[in-house]
Amino acid sequence: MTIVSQQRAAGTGAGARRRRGSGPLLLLGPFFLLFAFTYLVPILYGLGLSLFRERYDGVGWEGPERVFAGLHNYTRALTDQDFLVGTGRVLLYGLIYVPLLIALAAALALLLDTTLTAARRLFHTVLFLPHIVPGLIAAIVWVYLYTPGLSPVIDALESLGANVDFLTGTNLLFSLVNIAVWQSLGFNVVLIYVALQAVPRSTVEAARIDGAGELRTALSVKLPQVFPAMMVATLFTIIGSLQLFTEPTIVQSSAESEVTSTWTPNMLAFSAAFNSNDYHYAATVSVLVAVLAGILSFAVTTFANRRSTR
Amino acid sequence: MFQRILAAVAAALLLASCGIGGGASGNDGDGPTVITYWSWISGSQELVDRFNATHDDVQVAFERVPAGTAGGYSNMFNAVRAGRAPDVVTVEYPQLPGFVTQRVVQPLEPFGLDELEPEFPDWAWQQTALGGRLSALPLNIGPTVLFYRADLFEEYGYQPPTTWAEYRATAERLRADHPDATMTNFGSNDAALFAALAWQAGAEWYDTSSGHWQVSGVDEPTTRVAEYWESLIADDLVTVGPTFEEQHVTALQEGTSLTLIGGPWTAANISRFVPELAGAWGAVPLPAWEEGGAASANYGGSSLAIPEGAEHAEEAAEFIRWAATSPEAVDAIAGVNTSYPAHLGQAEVWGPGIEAANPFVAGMNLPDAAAEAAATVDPDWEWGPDMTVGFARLVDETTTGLDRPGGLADALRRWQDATRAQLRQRGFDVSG
Repeated sequence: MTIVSQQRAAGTGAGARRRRGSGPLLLLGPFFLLFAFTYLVPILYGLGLSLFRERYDGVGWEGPERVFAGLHNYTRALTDQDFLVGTGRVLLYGLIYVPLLIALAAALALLLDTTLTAARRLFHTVLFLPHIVPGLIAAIVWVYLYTPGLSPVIDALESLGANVDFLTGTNLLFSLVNIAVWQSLGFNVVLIYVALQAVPRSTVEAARIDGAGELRTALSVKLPQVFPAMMVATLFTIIGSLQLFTEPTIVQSSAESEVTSTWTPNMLAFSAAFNSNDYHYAATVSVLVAVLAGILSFAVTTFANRRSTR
Repeated sequence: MFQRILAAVAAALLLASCGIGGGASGNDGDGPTVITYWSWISGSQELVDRFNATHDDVQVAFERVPAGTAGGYSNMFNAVRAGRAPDVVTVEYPQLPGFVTQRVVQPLEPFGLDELEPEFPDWAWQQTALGGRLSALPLNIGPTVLFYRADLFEEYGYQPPTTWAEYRATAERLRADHPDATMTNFGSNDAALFAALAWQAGAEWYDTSSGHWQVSGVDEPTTRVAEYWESLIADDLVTVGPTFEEQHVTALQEGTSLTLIGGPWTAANISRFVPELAGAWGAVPLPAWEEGGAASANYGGSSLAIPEGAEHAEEAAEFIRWAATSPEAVDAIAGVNTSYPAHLGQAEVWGPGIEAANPFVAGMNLPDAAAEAAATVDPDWEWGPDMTVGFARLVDETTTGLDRPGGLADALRRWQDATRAQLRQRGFDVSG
């Protein structure tokens, strides 16, 4: 009797294990299938493409010959003025954009979290609204506001005696940062605000009892506890700024500005792929952008981990 | 349950793939062969409708694609690569060498289209017969003409200029007489127009006669053209900005931009942007560099080609032959497109047809001006193997520095150096 029941127990146990084993697989399967098709395969295909090049005989009327290129495309990119200057440009852009965005988002999230804010819900919605506007539309609207002769903003500034050109020189980079901040501030505020909700109220109360004011509580108690959320926001933003494409492309195509068709690495890759049909070079540039994003992400995560273990 | 969902999804996919394939095939029976034609030029639908109405064995399905450099060419390249090529495509002359070197289009000799050579202007044929093979058939061309406000010229007592020196003299007079008006707008976003101006002066940006690519952006004629326009810009005799954008259109409407350099097809654009100026325009051949030295260039126009892997190449060639040679084809699009036909026979019937069909063009003297220009285009001009980027780069380089002396010439040198480097990196044999 005991033996039988033990056997039965063992039997049902094994069955449950088997079911538990196939369950996650069944649930995760579709994800991994899609992941492989839309992510892994294209990445491998891109890596493969970047190792080949085309060669033409004489003028090339006979068509290209596809040959193994080794690292030719990579040395080409790393000596290509367009790529180097473009990369420098997005790094500079990120250097301005990322700290500005995260600081603003953290400040606003902390403000929303204070007991003082009355219309919290309203602010939430207002801040989040720009994020709902598609990036393309946002860029078009902003470019309209930046274009001399069309922009009511420039007209208004001129009537005040200020002559601002949003689309040339250093202003251009700040103009683009402005679009991006406007667009993604709300999302990052929400990200940090949600993290703030998870901060144990007891620590906040303890701080208050110890005599800390709102500002001191925010900076010394709340902020350190949402540090991981801020790091996640930073990570997303860095990757996003390396992939800068939509806004400068809109500026380039619809306004008189200094933005060229190869202004950022992603624009260069786009131009190589869809204007030159030089898929090999486009793949190379894309791989390099991905590698750069990987390095920066690694740096940020390492920094974040060291901070949190200290 | 899961399996049933899977089966349903699989069935849906199967159906969808059949649906996609259905358009291209399904001509195996006794019905007419249906070929697909990818284009964006205005009048394509009218052209196809007329062909379909007059042909029983072949029917054409017109599919509108984005303008070539705005994505249309990219679609074509990718379609050929993916083995889903259409049967006929529109290719502009600057991009054709790219299509040939990348093996995107097939030679037309097997379809006997090369026998049509005597029926086309020599220079136009040179534009499509690349590396000794006919790669496309010229459909329409853009011999350079000068559109001018005939009404204002008469009112102000000016004559249409016949040389560039006269053009400048007229610009100076205009400046003195009417300080708010300028002779023209120098299109800062139109690299093809600047190329045409250089072509007209005798420049050769690309040269393959030595068996490899030679690229030059600073030869004597190009530099002469650059300096000429730089001085017009510096002396405030012309405006600078994108053609047919807000400010330019306003100037046209207000009668403060008096001339416009273009091809016959530009007339349709003018009529679209300033329809109220019907009857106000005249057309003459572009001013020459030397007195009596007639020379013009080609600006725009397009050819028809058969992509590699086209399913019905034989029938495609039949359509191309009809579109590029028959008077009917000219008649079909006369109301919507003012392009000048490349075919000599078509060109003869084009003039009366376009003036009857398009009131905006009537009385402009466009047919005579176009015919005169078409007969004097320099046949030595060649295009490079990557002109979409070539043009984009030229616009990029010229967005800054146009207002300072030597700025345009500097931009051309940078363009030349960058183009050489890019083509070399790309795998082309480039010398100098």
